[in-house]
Amino acid sequence: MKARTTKVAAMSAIALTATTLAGCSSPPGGTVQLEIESYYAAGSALFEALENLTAEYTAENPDVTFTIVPSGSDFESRMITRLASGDVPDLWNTHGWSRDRYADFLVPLSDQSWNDDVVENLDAAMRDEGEIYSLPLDLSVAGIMYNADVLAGLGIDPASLTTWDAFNDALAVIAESGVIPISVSGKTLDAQAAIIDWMAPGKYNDEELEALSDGEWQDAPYATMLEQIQEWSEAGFFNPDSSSAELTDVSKALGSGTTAFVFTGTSAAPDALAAYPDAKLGYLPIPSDLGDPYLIGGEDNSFGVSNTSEHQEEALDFLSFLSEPESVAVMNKAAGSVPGLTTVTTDVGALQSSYDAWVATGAAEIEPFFDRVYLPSGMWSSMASTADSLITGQGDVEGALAQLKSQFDTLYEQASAN
Amino acid sequence: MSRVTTAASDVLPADGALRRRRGGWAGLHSRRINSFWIPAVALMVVFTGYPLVGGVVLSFQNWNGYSPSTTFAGLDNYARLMQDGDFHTALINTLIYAFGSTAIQQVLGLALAVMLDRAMKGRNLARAVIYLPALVSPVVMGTMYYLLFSYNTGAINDIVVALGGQRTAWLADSTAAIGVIVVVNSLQFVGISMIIYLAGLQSIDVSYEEAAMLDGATGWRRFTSITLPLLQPAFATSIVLNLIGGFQIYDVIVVLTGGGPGTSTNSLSTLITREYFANQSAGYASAIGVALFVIIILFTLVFTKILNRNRLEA
Repeated sequence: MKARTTKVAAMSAIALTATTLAGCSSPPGGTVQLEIESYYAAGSALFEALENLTAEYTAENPDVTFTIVPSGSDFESRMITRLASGDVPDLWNTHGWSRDRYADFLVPLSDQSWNDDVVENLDAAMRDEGEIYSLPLDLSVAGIMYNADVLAGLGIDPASLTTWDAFNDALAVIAESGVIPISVSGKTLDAQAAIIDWMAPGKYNDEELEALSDGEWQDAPYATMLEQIQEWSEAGFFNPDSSSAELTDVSKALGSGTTAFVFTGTSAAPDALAAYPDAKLGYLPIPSDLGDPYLIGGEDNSFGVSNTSEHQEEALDFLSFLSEPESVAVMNKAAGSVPGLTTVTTDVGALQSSYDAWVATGAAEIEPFFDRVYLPSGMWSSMASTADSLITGQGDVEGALAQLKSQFDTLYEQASAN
Repeated sequence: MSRVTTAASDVLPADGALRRRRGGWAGLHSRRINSFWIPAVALMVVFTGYPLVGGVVLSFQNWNGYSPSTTFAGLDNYARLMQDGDFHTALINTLIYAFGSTAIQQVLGLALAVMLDRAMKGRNLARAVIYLPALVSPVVMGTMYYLLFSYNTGAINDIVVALGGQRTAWLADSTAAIGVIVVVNSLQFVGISMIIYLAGLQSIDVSYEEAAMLDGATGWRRFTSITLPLLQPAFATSIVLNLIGGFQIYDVIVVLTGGGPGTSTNSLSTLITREYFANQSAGYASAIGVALFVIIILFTLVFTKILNRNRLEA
């Protein structure tokens, strides 16, 4: 009985080992499986667009198959964990951080055929002495999103809101009418951070920007932004459910016209239009204390290739496939965004009129995302929480500035040391 | 003392006899049984000891959480703990969550246990219903309460409006939000306290109560003079378990408030996540983790000692 048990155990062990070894090797035909860690939620338009493109690529290249990992708000945490543990995917969404966070882990791509086609507005945030580490499928262009019907109903011309004073007057008129002037989401806090991120280029002069880049925190311009937010809060310009609202609630409020403005970028449009297909939406440039109004633009849907990938050749070839105008157009349509390559024609759907008015004509300069260029990586959450503490009346400007300076100094020192 | 030692040496065989007895099959069997602790200890070392040591080591380093290199920070991360307003807020909140939840769970848990210890119709069903939330993920529980407390679509605001009141942003005020978190956490785990107290109540010999009744003791007198003192072991278990759970509270906060407004409802656990991932200060996050570990150990030791002392006196 004992001998029989031993035999069974030995055979099981051999079978298990064989199965395991088979799993480690390439499947028959030498198929390569590329893993893509995506920023997209499963079932989202972008996820499905990427799935379709990978299927198309596999149809042309049967030896290459894909595993696309869906994600969500935990994407950054997942990527950080994967990089720290050495479990690095073959390709991943660099989502604004190809140069400043991920460059050490990515293959330099300036020798790729599409390198010269990258739109110039992305250079400031993506290139390091001409080198680029990610294929930008789009240029994220952001302004203050508005519901055109609400503004028209109150006789407010969005093109006339070229100064903060004019914008504040408009907020007061909107509040008077019973419409919520600005909505933010307390569940993600991204809109709170975005208010600061978008105001900042119009507040910091060149000298202050240089000092920030050198690691010297600048209180004064930041204080003016926080004071502005506090004034809006005290005037009751923010949505009363700011602490519990989801981002989709904010987008829907924009679509329904219960709110006039949101600081969420064009990403609010798909949710708003899904709920209210007839909504008329647009975006306007951000007023500046230092010059003309401007838009914010930078890297968004972009993919890089791991420099430790065993299948770099295949991954780079797939990237080349993604850079083809037809592929870029598919992703742009899903994101409702502006192409990151000059080879693609722009079609931004419901936001076309704003695009034509401000971007296509060059009427508004495009500034890079402030935090990505002038602040150390990791400041976003402090920007968000300090702004939120003022919106909800739970903090004050002095306390927020002290916290921000401390975080800035710590992260700058850490970035220099690492 | 010496008398006991002498007596023991009379009973026990000499050393040589013991060594002989441990030989052969019996010795092998004994060694096998004695080696059964090895897998448990190995698992503890791998899954608790190694991360703990790694966390302590990391707390003396500067690291963004993903780059291949780290730098030695000495005691900088611990010095930062002393000056960081967010840490102080999270520490105070954690103490409120731990002690607030523990207090509510003890009072409610004991009351429910006493009530459901009596013979009554539907007793088992009531016990199961009260215990059920403890089996549900805190994320689910938090989401349910989030839906109750949300501004526009929350059931509580709907009731307030129906009664003629105005909608209230329950989670916009940090004091109110902290209160909501304490209540949600307490209601979720009150069933565990109830079960512990029920077990304690059922272990008390009925003859004590009968004797007290013969002496004319009232129900309240019997409860305070017999039941409560004899429940001391249950108190110790329930309080320490609830305190540890309260110190580690995480999911409910993430779902209900995300640590906001601002950072005003963070616990130490949610602050660790925020510092590690969002602020990319992995070394500092580890220092907070070590501080939390020390706090839990200290409070556990102190409370265990106090409660055990009371038990001996009882």
